[in-house]
Amino acid sequence: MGSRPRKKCLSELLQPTPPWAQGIATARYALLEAFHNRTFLIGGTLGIAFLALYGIGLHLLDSQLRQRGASAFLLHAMVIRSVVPMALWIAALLITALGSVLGAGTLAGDLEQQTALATLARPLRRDTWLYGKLGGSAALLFLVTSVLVWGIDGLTYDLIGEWPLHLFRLWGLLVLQAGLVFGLAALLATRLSGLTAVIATLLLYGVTLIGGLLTAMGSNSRITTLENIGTVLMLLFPANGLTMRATYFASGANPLIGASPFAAAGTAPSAWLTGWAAAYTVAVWWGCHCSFQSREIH
Amino acid sequence: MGAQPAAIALSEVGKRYGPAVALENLTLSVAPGTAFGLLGPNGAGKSTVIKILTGLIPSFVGEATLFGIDVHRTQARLKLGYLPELFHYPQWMTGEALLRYHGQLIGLSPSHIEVQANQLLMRLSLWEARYRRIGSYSKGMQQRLGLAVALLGTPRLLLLDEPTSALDPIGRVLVRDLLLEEKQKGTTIFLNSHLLGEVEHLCDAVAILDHGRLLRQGSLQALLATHLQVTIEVDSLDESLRRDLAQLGTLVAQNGNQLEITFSDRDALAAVAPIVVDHGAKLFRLAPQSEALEAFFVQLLDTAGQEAESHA
Repeated sequence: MGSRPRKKCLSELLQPTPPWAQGIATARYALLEAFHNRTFLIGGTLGIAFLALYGIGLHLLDSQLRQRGASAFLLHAMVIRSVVPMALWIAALLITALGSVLGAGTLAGDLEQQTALATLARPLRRDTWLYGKLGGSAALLFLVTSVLVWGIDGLTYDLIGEWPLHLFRLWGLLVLQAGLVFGLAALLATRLSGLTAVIATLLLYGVTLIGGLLTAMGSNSRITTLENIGTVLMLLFPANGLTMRATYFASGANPLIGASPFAAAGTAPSAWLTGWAAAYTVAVWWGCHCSFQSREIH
Repeated sequence: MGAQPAAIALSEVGKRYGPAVALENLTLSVAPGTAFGLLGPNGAGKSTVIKILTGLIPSFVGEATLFGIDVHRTQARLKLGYLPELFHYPQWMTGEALLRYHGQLIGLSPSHIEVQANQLLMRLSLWEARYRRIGSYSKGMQQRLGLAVALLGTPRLLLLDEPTSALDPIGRVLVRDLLLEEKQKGTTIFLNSHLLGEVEHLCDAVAILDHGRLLRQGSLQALLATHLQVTIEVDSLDESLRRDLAQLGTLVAQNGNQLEITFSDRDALAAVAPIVVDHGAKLFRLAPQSEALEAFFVQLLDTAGQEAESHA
């Protein structure tokens, strides 16, 4: 027994792989995984179907208004102040649904199916793997979000010859919302099953939607208490607040939004809310990092 | 030149899950180039040991190193190949793509990945299936693929958790031969298996765990020397011959003219033939039992269980 003379094997000659190379390999793996498990296919199809319907809807509206002899000003006002904000709400719902499924599924898939065991036993830092996987999926979500937002903007421009206001700001806000939802779902998936993480994220989003509704109702009926309760609920998970601010940037201050069934407020959420949402996003991503670093992989 | 560090060294390692003890003060060492078997019943803590060594369980008490490097450090796993007990791989990937991904993670160049992956796929009879989705593989094929993943990069240490649990007899022989070949090359093998015959065949040393405690550790030869179970068959067995033979060790069973006796001292075996001849009988068979490790293992666990009951 005991050691015997041996030739140097390949593993003795190997140097630790740079984390960036491992991260890129893992991100590529996450992208392929999202394509193969049909998450991207479903999200992408829904997004394209929505844009197609939006385009058809806009042109129908245009032809109806022309038939009735409405002015171009009315068409412009309706599209910019009501149709675009509603389209952004629906896009935000799609982004939220896709973000929660991608965020939770990216980690939960490997943890629940135990495919992470052999991978994490490699000379690979856990955070490298984590950010590689999340980065790959987040890139897809970013792509879908951008296609949706710019698709709505482009179709609107095609009809009325004018871009919605503050294009980059509303795009940035919805990207931030996608990152927030995705990060929270990923954080929850480090400790909960994938399905539970998705449900919990969507429940929180539901609470924040109710918060938006209460804020709008309070604002319209001038009941400050109702407005405050709504604001607190929205701060619990500021995803809906970001959509509200994005719709405000799309259409400018307008009283019609306050009456929208999607609970947008007549006044825009403040810049503080954007700051809070940004801090919240950083916190959930950091929480995801810490939680994953310390968990046991079984 | 300094002494070579142990391939695996655990020093007073402990792990608890709430009130349940998974490991208690476990200290063991595995020399480089040896094959080491970790044995124990279900829930003994074997998989916990492997997961601590692979960094999958980051929080525990005590110290654990691979080739002298703390297991918490990424570098400790640079020379490691690991086959998990639950060998699940992404079902949507092909076998070839899985090997390529792992090759990228350990820093192999594309040409090295191709050469090594092809060699391993052929060696493990997966060449024909290399472009098929893993989801279409049988369990045995997936386990062989897991072994190919573990062997990628020619690791100096192989941690194998039940490496043949899903294999048919032909697959077992294939893997056993491959592991023997790796052992010949000087790769350290740390084997966690319920198949004691496999451990006996491959390992130089074993450790036996029960309820997170180390019951026994040592070279297989030394452990089995204290527990040699043999079958003695004679042409006629009278009471006096039976008594005299039984005095040499512990009589385990009698079946007609056949006795099974456990010897604690190998020298006592030499006395069997003279005793049989002195009684005017003929010795037909004096054979060690092939399941010696299994018998030792069962007896050791029985004793441990009885001791635990008496303490309670």
